[in-house]
Amino acid sequence: MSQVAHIFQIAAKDLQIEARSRQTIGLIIVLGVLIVVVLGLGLGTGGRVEGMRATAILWVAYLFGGALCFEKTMAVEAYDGALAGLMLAPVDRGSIYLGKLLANLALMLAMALVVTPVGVVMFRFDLSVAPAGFIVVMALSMLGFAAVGTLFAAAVTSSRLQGGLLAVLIFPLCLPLVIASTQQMLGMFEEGRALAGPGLGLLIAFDIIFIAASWLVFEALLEP
Amino acid sequence: MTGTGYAILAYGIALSMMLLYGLGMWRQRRKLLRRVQQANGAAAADAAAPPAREPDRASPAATLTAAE
Amino acid sequence: MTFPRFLAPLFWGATIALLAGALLMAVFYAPIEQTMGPVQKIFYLHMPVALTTFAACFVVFAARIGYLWQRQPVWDDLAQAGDQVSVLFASIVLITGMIWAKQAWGHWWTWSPRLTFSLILWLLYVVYLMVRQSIESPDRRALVCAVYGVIAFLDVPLVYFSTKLLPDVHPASIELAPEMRQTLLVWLLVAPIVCGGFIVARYRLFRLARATGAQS
Repeated sequence: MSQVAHIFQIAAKDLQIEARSRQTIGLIIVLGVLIVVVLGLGLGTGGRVEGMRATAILWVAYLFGGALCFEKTMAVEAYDGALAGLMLAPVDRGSIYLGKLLANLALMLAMALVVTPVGVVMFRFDLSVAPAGFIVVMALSMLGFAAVGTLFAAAVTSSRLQGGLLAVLIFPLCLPLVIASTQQMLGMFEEGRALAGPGLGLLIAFDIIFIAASWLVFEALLEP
Repeated sequence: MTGTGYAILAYGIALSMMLLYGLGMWRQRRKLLRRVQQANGAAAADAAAPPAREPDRASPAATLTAAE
Repeated sequence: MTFPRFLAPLFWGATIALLAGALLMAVFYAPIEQTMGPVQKIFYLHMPVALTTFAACFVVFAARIGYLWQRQPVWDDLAQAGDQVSVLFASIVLITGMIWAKQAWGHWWTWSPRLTFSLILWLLYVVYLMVRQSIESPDRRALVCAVYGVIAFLDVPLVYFSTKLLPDVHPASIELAPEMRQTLLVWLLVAPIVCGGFIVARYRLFRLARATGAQS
């Protein structure tokens, strides 16, 4: 039971740090909105990308915003020997991972709450066909992305590397998420199929496999 | 380009890539082996040659002790 | 791994002869397929190399697990060797796949399941090579590569199934005449031999570099 409490404590700690400066959340929201705007302008205003295709643009915004978010929440541990302190505490290393994952999810959710309406409105995406399906698919995709991103943020931040490496590392791994969610959206919005389908199954499988694997492996990557 | 042309292109590219990789490794191996030989040769030379630098190194110490 | 000096030239001499034989078989012995024409012969190269790439990926995966388990540099060396060869072979799969697509369907690229799968696999292992370059400390580098290797391999089935969701362009299944089957078998022999030979050679090169204290 205490492990679960630890997980929430770690998440709460990260979110408290974030609440004080609001730096990361501000950055990723603005980045997300900018990406949507750039793509909207770049793709031409003649309605060339409309409706369901807006999910592609949302994906780009989430991917880049997410990579930035994961880097920053892990970088927090680099200051004042915070990571050493965390590792000395009697906390299961896997719980550290889950706590960080929760914090990242909360931040991603906050970003999505702003960026998604912007995208939906700018690209005239009619959600009324399957609003619950949209939310479920996007939430599951974001969970999988955060699972992979949180793990590799720990891999990448402990060394002095150039930026962008995290994005390069996690984007290929998350391509199945993009494919599955897009195909699922296509099924739901353009063909009127129900939520349950192979795409959804794949998203769930991805989430389970990678949360479990990352939870097991996370400890190896931490270094004070 | 005809079908045969494409087939030739495909095989050509594939086999060249493999060949280049193999050749690259071969050259790298020769370079490393040469370096090993040089290191062995230098080590042998060091053991054989008289310690020519001894007098130089000894002189500051010698002048010091002489000054004392 | 120290081999007697004659072994490497013997192995490679035999392999090149085998490769030449396989090539001749593909060109002259195998008949030209009716519906697709000569370009179908790319199949003899493409399919065995694709299977071999997957085997090479498995070697990398096993070596990375070995590193996570034992933290000995040998495992890292083997994994790196396997990774380079995987990228080489994955590139061949991708390029031959694209050439086939161009001839068969008129475009260099389609988002068909098979091509997309080769692309993502290629990307996964190319990123691997880049991670190697970006981390300075050798222990850290080996560790991060190990974690990435394990995760990437777990990703492969997910990639496979997700690309299955993509609309397929044309399902290509052909009847194999006996000569075609034999040619294919020969190539199925040649590809793993070349792949294995490369991995062992690259591994020995890494060990040699480590012994001489040089960068390889």
